[in-house]
Amino acid sequence: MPPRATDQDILLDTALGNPVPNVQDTQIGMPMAGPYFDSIIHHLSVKRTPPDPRYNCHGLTFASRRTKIIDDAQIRQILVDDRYVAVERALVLPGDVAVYFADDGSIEHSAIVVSTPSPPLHIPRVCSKWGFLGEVVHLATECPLYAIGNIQYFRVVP
Amino acid sequence: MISIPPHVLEVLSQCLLVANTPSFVLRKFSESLTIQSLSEAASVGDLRDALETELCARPFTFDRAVMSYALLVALLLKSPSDAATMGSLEGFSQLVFGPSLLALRSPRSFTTHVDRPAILGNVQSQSEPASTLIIPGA
Repeated sequence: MPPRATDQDILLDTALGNPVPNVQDTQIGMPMAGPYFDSIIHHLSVKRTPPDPRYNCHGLTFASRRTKIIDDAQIRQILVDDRYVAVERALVLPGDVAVYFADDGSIEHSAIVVSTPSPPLHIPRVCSKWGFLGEVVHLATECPLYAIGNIQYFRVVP
Repeated sequence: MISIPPHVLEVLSQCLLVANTPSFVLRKFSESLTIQSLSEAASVGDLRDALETELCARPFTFDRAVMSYALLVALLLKSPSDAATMGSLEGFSQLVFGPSLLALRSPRSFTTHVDRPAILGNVQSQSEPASTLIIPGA
């Protein structure tokens, strides 16, 4: 097995080669949560997959669904090292990423943009992982309890 | 006996369902006024006993998991050092975020503040080359 950095279940580096600690679970942490999915999902949102314990929202967005990235400091590191730049909401394109910032500045959630936002509100649809529930395609602002008041969009620009 | 109003448990349930990280659980549960009040009103012993009862219950339902996290966060708010001993309770391994929560000495130590856009540029237009990116503070 190749050498791992501390707290790395799989090898994962930023574009600049800084190791990204990660956790790759194999068991669903809360199997009894599944039936609750329908109670909180918006009727215009689409359930995409059942829950997969291997990755979380950040693992979906920044690690190709291969593992969980737990610490939001690692997300910040990826944004910098991978040369993400902020994108105005009206200019967002599919493939960009959405990062949800809590009031205290911490990163609460992340998602991949899957549609171009339409006027007048310019809110794109995104694909994100909802904790113990699974992947959902939804309007960026139609997700429960995440910090929808401060969603920032980013893109890697050559 | 410690109880939490159903409407509060419902909100906490949703928080737990969509939690991707332990810091999210800690932040959302800590923000609950009910859990803050519980932390102030109940003793460490009462919280521990209640947590032990929940963890040992069979079947260990989702509602019991929510209650367990509520009690654990109340303990963390009240006494991080006492909370740190909860990992030895029977059934604690059912709380997937439990060890991560206990690893924190205090809730504040876990939150990472992000100096977000100050270090990043802004895309002003889809057609502009990268050389025109505006770097705040540059």
